[in-house]
Amino acid sequence: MNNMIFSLHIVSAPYSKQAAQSAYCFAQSALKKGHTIKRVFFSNDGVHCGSSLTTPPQDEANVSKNWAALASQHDIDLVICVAAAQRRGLLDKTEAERYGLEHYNVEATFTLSGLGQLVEAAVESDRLITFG
Amino acid sequence: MPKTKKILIVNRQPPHGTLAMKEGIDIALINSAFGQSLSILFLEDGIYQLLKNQNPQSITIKDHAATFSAFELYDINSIYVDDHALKDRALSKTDLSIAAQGLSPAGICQLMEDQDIILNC
Repeated sequence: MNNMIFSLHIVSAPYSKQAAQSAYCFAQSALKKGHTIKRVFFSNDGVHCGSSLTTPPQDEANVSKNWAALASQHDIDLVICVAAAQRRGLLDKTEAERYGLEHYNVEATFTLSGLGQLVEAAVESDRLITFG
Repeated sequence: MPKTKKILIVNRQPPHGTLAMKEGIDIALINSAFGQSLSILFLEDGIYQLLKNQNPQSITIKDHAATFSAFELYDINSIYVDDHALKDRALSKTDLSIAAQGLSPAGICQLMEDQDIILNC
């Protein structure tokens, strides 16, 4: 099979559902087979995957740290839907400052951006796969 | 973004209780704003999203159904409903807030077959 460009769309919360971890396993396997993961777009409850404050027990997977590590290693764009994130209390430094809030909690490897990034990922990848 | 793809948004969930409807509408509007060839299909309990005269403010939820009237402004004209889903719920197209084309199961298969991308909301 020719190498393909994939983008992933994650719509459910880590630890509530398996989706984010299934997507992570898919990404690892696809990369191992020489495919490219262009972007992972987190929307709906999937935005919680980008929280830098999740502290699961040490013998469980840390979803946000796992994604951050994989993204750094393979140059994957991790994008969180900004509107979905704001509703759910996920902010980066810029957004926190904009709203005059003291704290922010988005893992540094993730970017907050709009749904246009999902459209672009859909158009520019060979496949867009939703996990949720 | 030079390329255009045929994108189908499939709404299967009822309007209230989750944000699925709001987020489905947002994805539809942005795809259209980015010039994609867009269709929207309402299946199963998703057809309840289109019911007229909803009043979700009484349960502290914004009336996202009002946004459907913006579809025309966004040139979103390919709107489909599952005929069987309407019939099973004792509804007809006159109960819906916007004009939609009814599809049989075979019509739905054909619509899906024609797409590059299908997004479930």
